[in-house]
Amino acid sequence: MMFLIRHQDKERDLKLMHKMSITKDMIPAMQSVVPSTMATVSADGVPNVTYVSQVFYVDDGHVAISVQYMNKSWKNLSENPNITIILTHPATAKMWKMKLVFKEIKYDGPVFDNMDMQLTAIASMCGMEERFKLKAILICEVSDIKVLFDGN
Amino acid sequence: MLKSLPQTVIAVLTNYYSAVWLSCCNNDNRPLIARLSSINIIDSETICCCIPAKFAAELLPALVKNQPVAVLAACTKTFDSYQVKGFIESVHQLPQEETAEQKNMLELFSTALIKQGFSAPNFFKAYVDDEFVAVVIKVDDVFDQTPRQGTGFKINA
Repeated sequence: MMFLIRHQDKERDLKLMHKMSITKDMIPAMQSVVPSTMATVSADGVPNVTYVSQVFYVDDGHVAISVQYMNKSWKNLSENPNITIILTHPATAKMWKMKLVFKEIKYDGPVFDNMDMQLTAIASMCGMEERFKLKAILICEVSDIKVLFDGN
Repeated sequence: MLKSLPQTVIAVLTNYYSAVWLSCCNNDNRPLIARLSSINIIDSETICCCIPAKFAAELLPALVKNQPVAVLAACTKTFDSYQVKGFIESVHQLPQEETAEQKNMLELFSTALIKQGFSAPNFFKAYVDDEFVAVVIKVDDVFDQTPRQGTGFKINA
């Protein structure tokens, strides 16, 4: 019980660092150097956790997530739009937990084209050109951002 | 239904250079996620996931018996990845004498990242804690998550 109380205190401290919009220091964590981890949940509460190649900055309140495979995540999002993503800064290891709400799927447009170019570059660096093909992008609204590790 | 965890999956789940994560959902049906320090194999269909306490705070109320969970393990060398789905059997604080092994796993993981150009001390500090929560999971299904054709397929189908 004491263990639970101690960690609820830790959680309260972290809540002081809640933010609602993307800040400049998060941008390097969105350049796909460290892959981001994404969790979704089905309508009946079964989670799915996977890596995503790209969490792309759209504006201070929105990101776009690349869809390459994502069958189970996509099924979950069609039932429940809530997403949790972990972002990691490649130099400092600063970590953020970002809560998102899925808004729409897009198959073309300027954001799609920019992400397609970036993904081609990532795939080339990893020698995975044949495996990394952008099928679509998920436009998501940021509902909460919490710092998990401050990088110091 | 899973008969036993394949050796290829066990190798990725337990390697120190694999990045490992656990996900469950809260009462509002929102996904929760935590970085793990390690995964131990208890028997052919039961695993124990250790969560550094600083990542477990939000999950603790949701980590209860029979809660469905998903675990992701991805090898940072080969990109081989597997997702394990199952149900929680029990949750307990890891005894103090077993925390050294968790810190050792995180140190080995962080050191392995040097070859990829990352700072080992920074990543070790990001992941490590003095206390760990152990979550025992009965595994139901295993999915191949490696980025290639066939990803997402159930291995034990």
